[in-house]
Amino acid sequence: MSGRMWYGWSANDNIRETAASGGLVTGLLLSLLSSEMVDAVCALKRGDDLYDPRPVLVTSPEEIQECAGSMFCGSILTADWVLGAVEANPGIKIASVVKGCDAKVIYELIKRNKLDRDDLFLIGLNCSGTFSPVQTRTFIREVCGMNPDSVDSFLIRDGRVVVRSGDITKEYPLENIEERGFGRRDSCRRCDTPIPRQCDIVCGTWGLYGENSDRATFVEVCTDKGLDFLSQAEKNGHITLVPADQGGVKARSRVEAAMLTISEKNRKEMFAKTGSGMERLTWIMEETSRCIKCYQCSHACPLCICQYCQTKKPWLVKPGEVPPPLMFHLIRFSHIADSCVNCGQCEDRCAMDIPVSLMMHALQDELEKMFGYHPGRPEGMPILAKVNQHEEWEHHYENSYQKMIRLFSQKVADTEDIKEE
Amino acid sequence: MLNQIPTICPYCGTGCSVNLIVQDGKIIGTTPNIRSPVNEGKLCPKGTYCHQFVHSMDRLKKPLIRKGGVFIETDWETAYHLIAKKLKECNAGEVGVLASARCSNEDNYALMKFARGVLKTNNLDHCARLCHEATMTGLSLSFGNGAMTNSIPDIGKSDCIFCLGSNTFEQHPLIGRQIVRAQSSGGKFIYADPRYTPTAIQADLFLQFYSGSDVAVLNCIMGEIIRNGWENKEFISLRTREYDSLKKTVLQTKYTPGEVSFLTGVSEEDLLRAAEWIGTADKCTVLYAMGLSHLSGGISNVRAIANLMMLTGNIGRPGTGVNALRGQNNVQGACDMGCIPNFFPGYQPVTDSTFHRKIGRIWNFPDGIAPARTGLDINQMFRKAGMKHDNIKAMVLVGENPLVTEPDQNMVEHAVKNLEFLVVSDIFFTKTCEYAHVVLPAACYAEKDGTVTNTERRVQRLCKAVDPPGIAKPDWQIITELACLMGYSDQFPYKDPSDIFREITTVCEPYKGMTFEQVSLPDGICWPCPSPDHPGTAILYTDRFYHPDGKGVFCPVEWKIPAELPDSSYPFRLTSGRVIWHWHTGTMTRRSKNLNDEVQEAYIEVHPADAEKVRVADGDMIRVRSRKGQLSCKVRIVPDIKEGMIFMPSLFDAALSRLTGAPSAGPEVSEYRPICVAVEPLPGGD
Repeated sequence: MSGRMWYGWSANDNIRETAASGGLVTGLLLSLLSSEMVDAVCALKRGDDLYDPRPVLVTSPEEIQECAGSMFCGSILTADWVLGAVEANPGIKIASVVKGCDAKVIYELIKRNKLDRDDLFLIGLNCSGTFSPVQTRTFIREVCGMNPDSVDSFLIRDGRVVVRSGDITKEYPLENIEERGFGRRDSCRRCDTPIPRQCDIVCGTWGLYGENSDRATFVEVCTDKGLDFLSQAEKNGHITLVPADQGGVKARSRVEAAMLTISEKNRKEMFAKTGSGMERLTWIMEETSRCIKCYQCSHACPLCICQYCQTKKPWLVKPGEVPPPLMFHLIRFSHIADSCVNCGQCEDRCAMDIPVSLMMHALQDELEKMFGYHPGRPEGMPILAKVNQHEEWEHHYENSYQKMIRLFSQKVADTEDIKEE
Repeated sequence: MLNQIPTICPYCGTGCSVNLIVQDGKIIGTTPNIRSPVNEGKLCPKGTYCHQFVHSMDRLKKPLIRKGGVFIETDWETAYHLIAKKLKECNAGEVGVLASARCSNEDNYALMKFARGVLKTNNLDHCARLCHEATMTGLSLSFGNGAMTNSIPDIGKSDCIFCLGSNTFEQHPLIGRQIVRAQSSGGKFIYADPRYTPTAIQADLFLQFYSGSDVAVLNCIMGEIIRNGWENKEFISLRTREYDSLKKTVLQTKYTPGEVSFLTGVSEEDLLRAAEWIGTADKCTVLYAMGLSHLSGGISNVRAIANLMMLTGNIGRPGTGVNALRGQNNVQGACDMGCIPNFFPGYQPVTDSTFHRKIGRIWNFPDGIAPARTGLDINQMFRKAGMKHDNIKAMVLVGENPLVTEPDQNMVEHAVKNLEFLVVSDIFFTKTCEYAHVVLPAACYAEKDGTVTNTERRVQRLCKAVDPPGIAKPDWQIITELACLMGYSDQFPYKDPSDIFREITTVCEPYKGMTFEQVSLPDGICWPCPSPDHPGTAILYTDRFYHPDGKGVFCPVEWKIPAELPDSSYPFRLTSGRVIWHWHTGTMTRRSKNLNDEVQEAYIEVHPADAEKVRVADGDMIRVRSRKGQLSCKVRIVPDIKEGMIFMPSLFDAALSRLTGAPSAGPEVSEYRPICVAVEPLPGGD
């Protein structure tokens, strides 16, 4: 087998009926685990209800079926769990089902030597975005007039939100509900990676039509490893594959192009709101005046992984102050903005609804134009700024680290002496 | 392998849902629960680090008994037998029981049943007496029930939020977020406080007044609303009574903006603007907390707020209401469970003979239950424990640390020393434990199942994530085993918290329609929930108040000069409050590294002008004297506070309670603020 585009589904009839889109991903994960090609699988499973995704690390094939079905609410970063699992069990081989943001994070972590690409098998998903669980329930109650607890499925298809409950199906164009404040997360609306081709294979519904539309998955193979695994799974009798036809391939690229156009437009609009120069600084200061220093942005950020955080140095950020001094946010910007992949986790978790992700992404966009570093992508230059690493400091500023610390910890009047030294 | 367990944060009354990340039997971190309607996947610093104290080395792991003046570790059997023997020696009038607003509903219910059924006493109370007693009494008189009227997500829908006596962004940060939401959709935010707090930064209108002048401000606003005809006449005539008496009071000359401005230090314009915004808003809501109810005029303050909201017809609709923000994760639940001397669960008076008989029948104690007579409250218990004759001889404390939290530390210290027998159940060896005869190791929030009820009356599920340390047990289990040993195994057949919850639904009217399975779902259920198919009640009083005639009652209150006013020997007014990093006595938060790194010692905030007067500099040690006592502390000079006022965080072992005192008369709310103090530099303080 050599093609790059396929239609596929689970060879097991039971899985094909119960899982989403013919259960190809479920079948593939089963194949990976049962043939011991990986030690564990990181995926999401349904928690208390349709709106409650929970990350799980599965090691036995029996548990895989619990993860079947797609979830459009709540953006959980599986990359975090992959990193957690690898740190706890060095050398573990993991297969992970990832969205665009997960894939980009994983690549940033690989570049930082935290993960090893050879130990990972990445199954990408086409992703048009996710929704806030609580807002979605309000949307279903107030706009659709349905009981959120009796809804069977909530998903995006071809730019429309589709809500199904028993025999009733309601559809709403995405732009419409976005205008009413019930739309996708802001970061998703700016996303430039609807098809994460960094992965070994990418699966999804884009490019399906006719009898396939609910019963199959469109697979795009991106690496040789992906192709090997896929044919292995077919040989083991876990999945069935047929080559995709030209109509499907074209339809798929049309959807992708449409998604990218919308994101591009959203990016422009949202970045324009942040202003420039003093205007932007004032806006940042005003918004961050609500900060309660809960550190959720830092904990949520998959790239905020320094062992000794600069925001905890009393000479940079005085402890115990609410709202914290602007330096707190400046440190976060200077450490993350160059590599920000716009996963939006920081904004999701901000207790005071500060648009942190928009700030970071707007800065990243400008830095990318200036320095040409592409965060989250395998190609191109290595990471530019390894902030907070002693060697880097020495490289740029020679042997002045201690001097700098003394400068900041002394009163202004004393700084004259240091200059003279 | 990694696992995540959703449960409820153990700190303030907001009741945020948090996932504990568990690896190999240890909690290694938290994530916010995105599915919770309360916090929508967001947490404050305390919630973020709520796991850090759980595995502290100094958790109590085994029961301790005092032998020859020292504590020795023992097993449960020995401890139970000793407690049973000692408690049996006392008659019903000689024992007192304190429940805890930090324990689950099941813990509190079991303890309440133990006090009333096994010990036959109504001497049962908990620390809500010290904070929100005024809310319960005041709102019950006005509306017929003492709970917060609306739900947390509802606050974000308001057009005008009036917040006083609460530094919401620090004390209930995830309720503070609702203020942000309201503002982002065009709502206005009015904030009244003596300090320029993080909440004040976000205010559209900030009224910086002297603490203790709340009633004057509220009456003035009401007067202006009536003078301008902004009152809701239809609401007043259809749904309330006694309006004329209110009108007479608030229209007095002494409540005109001119007079009140002089009295409170708020400009006339600002008072007028506040009245206009509140009077003309379609949906206005009030948020208040202990700054209003935590002092001896608390009941008046609460009634004045109720008056304002009835006057403008802001009750019973989304985005309106009187929202009392409760300070502890289960203070609402502890009151619901009847851990108060005058009420059975569901606020049925113990003196009501019909209900008394009903409870007696349900519980079926062979030798009856406590008589239909109101018991002693927490202040009376300690006062009586300190007496020479006819005193309280034994006390059972579950999760309470009165030596630090009671306003008059000297009185409590004398009382507990005078006790013949004191049992304390806690998760750490607190200051109160030092005076105990038996100390029992309890499981903390992460180590037990059960339910808790947050400030908006939402009953939510606590889930066990890890095992308790050593042989520690959940409180409901300790109480159940003790009751069984004392011969009441038929009345305490509980094997699991769900057994207790089932019994709660038969006894406690507002919980009647709930099941343990339903409250375990992410949305929980707000009481009242009268039948199994009922979705719960997010907004109270949509069509009638809970008084028999369905009407709300106006009660005019007059502003009284605070019990203490500054004079030449005590020139400063002291106010207190929380900081975002710590919670109450700090037993849990000070053992959490990230929180302790932010603030690790007590301090006093002084205005720069005042600091100059008393000749102190930032970081100096100072001595603060009140009429009741004195303490020394580090000073922080901040311009955020009103001149003439000083502020101290109400935490850190027994600092503040040295300055405050018990109420002067009757079973009233305790006076924590405002009190007057003198400040002087401490010689030789480094």
